Amino acid sequence: MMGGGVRRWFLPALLAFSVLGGCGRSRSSEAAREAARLQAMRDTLLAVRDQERYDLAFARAELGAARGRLPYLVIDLQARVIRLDVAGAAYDSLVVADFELDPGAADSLAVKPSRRLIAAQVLAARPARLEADTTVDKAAAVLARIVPPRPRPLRLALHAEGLTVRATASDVKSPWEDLKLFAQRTWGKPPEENASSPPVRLDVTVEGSELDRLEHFLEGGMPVLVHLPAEDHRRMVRRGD
Amino acid sequence: MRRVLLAIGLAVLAAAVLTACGKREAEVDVEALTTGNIALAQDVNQMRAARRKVAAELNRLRPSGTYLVVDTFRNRVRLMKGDTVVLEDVCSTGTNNSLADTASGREWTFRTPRGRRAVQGSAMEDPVWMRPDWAFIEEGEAPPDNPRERAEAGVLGKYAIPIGDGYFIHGTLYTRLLGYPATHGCVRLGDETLARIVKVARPGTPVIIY
Repeated sequence: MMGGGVRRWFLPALLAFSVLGGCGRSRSSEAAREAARLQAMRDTLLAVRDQERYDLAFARAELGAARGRLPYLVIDLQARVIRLDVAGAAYDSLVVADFELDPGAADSLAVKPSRRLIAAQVLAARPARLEADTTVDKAAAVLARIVPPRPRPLRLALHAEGLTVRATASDVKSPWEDLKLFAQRTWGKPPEENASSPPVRLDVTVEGSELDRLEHFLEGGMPVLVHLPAEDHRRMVRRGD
Repeated sequence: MRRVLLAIGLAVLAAAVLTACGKREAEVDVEALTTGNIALAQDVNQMRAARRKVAAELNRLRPSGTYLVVDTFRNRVRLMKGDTVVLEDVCSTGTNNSLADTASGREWTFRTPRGRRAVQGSAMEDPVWMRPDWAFIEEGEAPPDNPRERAEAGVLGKYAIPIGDGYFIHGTLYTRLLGYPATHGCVRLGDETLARIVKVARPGTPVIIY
């Protein structure tokens, strides 16, 4: 009797609950799909915003450098070039074959993309014989006396505020072998090795043997800007959020 | 029969309550995400607008019209009109050598100053070089007191264009050294190129030296 009674009211109740519950579930799963779509959109927007934020900060730093009278160096790790710019226009460039950033360097460089050059150290190959000694061209001989040939730089260390950039020529097979008989040129005062907050370091390999051109560009006080590859500054900005 | 109706009623109520809760939660998510995304999109648009403004400002700094570009590494000069190279030729720029005068303790580095400069006045025709102290010290002579003894005609070529701080773009007697660093900081050009540049350079014409 009891079993029959329960069956009599339980089955229609279960049916009603299932039908209504089903409708509700279908509506809430639609909302969940919408929420997932919006979440994906949010992720994309966050990535775009981070990129925009970095690009804007870099553009402002570049504008600051361009307003000055001096040329400035842009180490563009995204485009893999080192550019020499004056007043917002590029006048020369070198190809970056490879680079390595210190862990943590991206954080510091994303916050402060522009630094003033303080000093430079140049390790160069042993001087070649003076052209004046060997040439039969009188003009070249005169010139070699006026401007003695400079030994080819193999490695440059640029010291900017809180940043050291070490540049090596890609055609240097073994710097230490090439540097057996080396010459060193320095200008400015490089920071102390044991400074309390050591500078962040960026190593770049410059294509070919064009470090002499890079050395020629350098000028005390010139701004050095580092443009980070997208993945580095995005990671940094995310962490900061 | 009453029991059946009551049970169905309770089931409907329970289903409605549960559905409403689920729907409310999902709606809250969707609403919050929509609001957040709108704010993010506004941020992005604002930053893009700011960057466009910076880019426009940067563009305004770039030289336009007629200007000169001096490459001190390759010792080449270019006369530009906008992005077009009108003329390109060899030149001589500073040697970067240094000279020290032990008697006075003075020191000079013969370097062509780099960066953005401009033509400072009209080109001088048949300029006379007033030899500075270093020109005498370099030759092992004492600088004279009488300014007339400093005047030397002919060595600067046909024209001299002032670019500030005592530096000039001028001609030369030493045409074989064009293409090499050979000067005390000025920019030396061949006669023909100099004449063409004099025709278009006006006070204020930008000179980019790198």
